[in-house]
Amino acid sequence: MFTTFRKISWLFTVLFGLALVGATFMNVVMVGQARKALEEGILGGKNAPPVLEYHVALVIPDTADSFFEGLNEGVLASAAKSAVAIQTFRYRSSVPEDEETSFQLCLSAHLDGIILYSGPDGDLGSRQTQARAENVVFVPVGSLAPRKTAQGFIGSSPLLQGIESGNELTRKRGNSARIGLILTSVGEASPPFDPMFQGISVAIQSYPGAKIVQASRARPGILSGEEAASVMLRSDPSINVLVCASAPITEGAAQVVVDQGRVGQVLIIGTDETPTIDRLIDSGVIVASVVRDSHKMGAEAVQAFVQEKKGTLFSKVVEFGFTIRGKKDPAK
Amino acid sequence: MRQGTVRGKILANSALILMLMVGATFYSGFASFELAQSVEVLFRNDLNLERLQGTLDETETSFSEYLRTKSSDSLKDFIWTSTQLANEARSLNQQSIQDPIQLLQRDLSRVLETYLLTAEAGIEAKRGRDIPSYAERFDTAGRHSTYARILISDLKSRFLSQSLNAFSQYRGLIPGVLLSNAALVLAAALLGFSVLLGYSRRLTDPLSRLAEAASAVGRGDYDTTIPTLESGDEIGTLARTFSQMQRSVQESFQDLRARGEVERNLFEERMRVMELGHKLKDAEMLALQTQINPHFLFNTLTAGIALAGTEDATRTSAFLENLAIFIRYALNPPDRFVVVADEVECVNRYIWLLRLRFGDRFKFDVQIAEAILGVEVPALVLQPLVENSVGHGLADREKGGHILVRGIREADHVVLTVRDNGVGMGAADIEATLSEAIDGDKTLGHGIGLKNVIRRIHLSTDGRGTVELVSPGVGLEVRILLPLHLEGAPT
Repeated sequence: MFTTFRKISWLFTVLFGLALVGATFMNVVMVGQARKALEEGILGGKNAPPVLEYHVALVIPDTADSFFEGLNEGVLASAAKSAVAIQTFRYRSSVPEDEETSFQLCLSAHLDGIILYSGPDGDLGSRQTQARAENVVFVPVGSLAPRKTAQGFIGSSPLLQGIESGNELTRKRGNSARIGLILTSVGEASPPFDPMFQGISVAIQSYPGAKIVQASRARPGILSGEEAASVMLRSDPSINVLVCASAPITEGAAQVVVDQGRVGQVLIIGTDETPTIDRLIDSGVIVASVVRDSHKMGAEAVQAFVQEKKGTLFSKVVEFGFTIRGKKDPAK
Repeated sequence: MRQGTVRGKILANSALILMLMVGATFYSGFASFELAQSVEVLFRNDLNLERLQGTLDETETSFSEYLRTKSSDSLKDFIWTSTQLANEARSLNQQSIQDPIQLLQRDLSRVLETYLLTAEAGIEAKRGRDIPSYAERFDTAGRHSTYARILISDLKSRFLSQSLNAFSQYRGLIPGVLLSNAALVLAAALLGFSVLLGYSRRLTDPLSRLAEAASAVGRGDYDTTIPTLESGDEIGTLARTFSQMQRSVQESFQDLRARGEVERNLFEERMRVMELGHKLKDAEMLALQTQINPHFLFNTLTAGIALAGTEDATRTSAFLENLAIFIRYALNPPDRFVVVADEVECVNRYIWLLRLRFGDRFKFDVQIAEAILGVEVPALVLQPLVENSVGHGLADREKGGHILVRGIREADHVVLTVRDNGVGMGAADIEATLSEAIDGDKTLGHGIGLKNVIRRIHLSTDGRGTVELVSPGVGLEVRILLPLHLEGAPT
């Protein structure tokens, strides 16, 4: 009886001792996490971040576009390897003055460099002159090199993007393609003058029956693609291919096609790659996506800055190609 | 405080639990302190930015006032506020650090610096009356001021957002912290309870066993088993001390018992001495009686001898004379020493009496060497042996019985032998007779005269004289070996 009681007593002691140690450990961990949240968020971490050699601003639109996310990531990844501190300024794409204000603010702060995404209308030449006057390295990034000459530029060619999209859609529809093209909010006022429109036109030249029957520019905002696609399909039910110029437009258009139950009837050729687009491609809603390598563009922009700081003037136009993201072959 | 004591163990366990709880509480308290510190930092940063913006406003106002009025007061104000603004700008981060807020502070510091440079240039232009230049400077300074305000606003919102995010994370963790605190307190309480429960058993269990043993000892059961406790605490000490006390009590009782035994033996010894004293007195009385009776017997025999002489009864007279001499010899103290010649004379008279009684039924030969006639030997050793042969060995023999009495010297011993041709003795009887004679067995019965002789020789010679019984099938030979010179014998 005594032995049994002693065993039970010891068992409880060991059990509750372990529970006490566990609870203490849990308490320390939880309190530690809470302290860490305060330290990192407000008080500043115990380990001060290293002081870097350069301070560069990345100025990009606040559009929820994977292209800019990729660009931002590419810049940060390359900057981390080159002792460059990156400060990201997001200007409102719907307010044209914001881009210039951000640029001027960076000049006023006398940063070491400015990597700026600009549409084709941006006066990059003037900005480059202003920046050099303030001894600031200016690296413009965009889809298309602006008409106003810039000595250096990093971008992807919308014309090539249009050609790639055209090739993809003719591979599916051939002569029967009736194309609706939804362009981004930034660009030429008249869609037929947009390089992407022209690229598609070039690609379908060999298919006499294929035709761009609708082309419009989406408004800024994440729901713009859905709105533009809905209007387009309602106004011309014969459209059997939708070509979308950005990731948000692609996701919105896909939503419309699914809602209207026209998956398979209306093919979607999208742009860029997001988890949603990947899922829609794999489920067959989107036929293919022309992916711009914005990550590489960002990295290249940082390297251009570093090279100019070392004395090599950034003066060339660098254009990155595309990859086609289609449905994966289940057999593979 | 010794760790081995019960109190020490309880205190050590309680202290351990308490320390854990105090540590955890302090850690939680420290986190709460940091929370308060964070709130303070948040307000202080906001306050600093507000102050900075206020200084910028004042600087702008004095700058525009000076450009408008060129008054010395406004210039003084500008110098004062711009100096203050420059100081505040310098207090902001100046380094390129990969942190959005730090970089914004660096931007703000530099924008303010640019603003001040532009404003100072505008002041100089105004003092130089360069109207186009100060107008342009005023516009440019206004733009820089706007950028600074944008940055201040951005800094505020970013810092607020970052702080809110941190507070949200902190708040999200509070239920877990509270839960872990509750678990900590509960586990500590249960552990404390378990430890106390275990200790209470460890305390009461040996104490109960000790109490049972103490009760048994109290009832007089001093041999009860005291529980063995090897622990080094007070209970172990108590058990060991109690066990030592029990051993001491047991030893005391053993001493008392031994002393009682000694006293009892002493009492018995005294009783025995008293009894012997009584017997001695009886013996003395008997001795007196036996001293009286021989006188009467000798007087009577002497009277008989005289009577036989007057009546010319020569044979009767000789009988009575030999009987009287024999009785006198036999009734003298038996532990005396006599010369062999006296023993031989006693035996001859006894044989003369036996011949008178038995006639020619037995043949007697007495062969004693001349050399030993003067040697002293214990008295009355030959006659009882002859009597034993007649009474036992030859009792059933009607004729042809022969008894030989011999005395010779062998080396430094006298050897006296009485041999008959009677029934003899078996080996077992010989051994029993010798053993009983040596041990002093007073059992009356067969061979009492023989045993008496053997024992008297053994006692009077301190074991140096021996008696051998030889019975080769027919007859018995009693062989007495005596040293020539015996201690205690008269020389």
